[in-house]
Amino acid sequence: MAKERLPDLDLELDDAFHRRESRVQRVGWTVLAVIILAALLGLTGSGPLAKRRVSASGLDVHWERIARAEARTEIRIETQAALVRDDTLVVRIARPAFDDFQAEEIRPQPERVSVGDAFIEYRFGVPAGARQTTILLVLRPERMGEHELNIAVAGAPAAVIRQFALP
Amino acid sequence: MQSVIRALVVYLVLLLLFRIAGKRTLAQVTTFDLVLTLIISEAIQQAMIDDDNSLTNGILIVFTLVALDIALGWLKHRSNRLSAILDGKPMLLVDRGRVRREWLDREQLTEGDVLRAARHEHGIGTMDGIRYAVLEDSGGITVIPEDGTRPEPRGERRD
Repeated sequence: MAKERLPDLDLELDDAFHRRESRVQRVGWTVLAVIILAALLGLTGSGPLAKRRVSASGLDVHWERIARAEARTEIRIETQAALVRDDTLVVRIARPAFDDFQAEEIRPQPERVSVGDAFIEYRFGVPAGARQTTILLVLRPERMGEHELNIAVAGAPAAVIRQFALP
Repeated sequence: MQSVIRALVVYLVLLLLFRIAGKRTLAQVTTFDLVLTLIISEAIQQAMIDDDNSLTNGILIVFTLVALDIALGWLKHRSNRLSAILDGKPMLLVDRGRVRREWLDREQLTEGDVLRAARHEHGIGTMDGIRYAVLEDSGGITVIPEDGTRPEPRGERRD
């Protein structure tokens, strides 16, 4: 039924419009459901599909592939005892990519931080005999978009991690 | 600039979301709907203001939202097509006493919803007493009784 006017009601009926509207709404509901499902799976951050891990020569880095701009995200660096030299673990993160992040928290606190043109270096004291050291970087991406961080622990190949920050 | 963009995005997303959700979503303001409205506003507030709690930022966001509303109102006034796209059109639910089941189903309404409006507006207790029932673009149901009398002017109802 196309546009129609009722005999005693000043109202234009447009069933074709309502059918289109209904179709669009149902597509919209489907899109909403897909977005919620994707979010549950972690495609908008903090979920199983967002988790990433890279391992090499005693170094394990865990992070989230999807983060959100200006929201906290964690990078966990696990290192084996072999990477500790003179009770010190040295972690270098390449700049300027790291400048896109605000470092909210570093656990444990580094004993020393050095800033170079091409990197920022954290030195952590490690007790003798420790089999594994875990360092947690709590960061906040300061802009949306793709970020690439190069994290190197002295004695192991650098780990390259990519993260996309949603708005 | 960020505040204006954030307010613009939030406004458009909410406009789209509630258009998709359908006419009846917040038209039937139950206690839970009221709570839901508050939760939605709370959830979106932080995204709009970010970490800037300044008076300037708050005022700027309010200015942006109100200006957008005025602008859309102006555009809708000038374009019936845009008005229909953004607000929808009235939908006939009962046509000369005959229930249009397809349209009730499309809007997830029942005869009970129509009868509730009929009881409330005119004290009509049966479907036979309804000549027309219209789902307005605002989400309310307007009932015109079988005897042809127009509803008393009492403002738009939200059932």
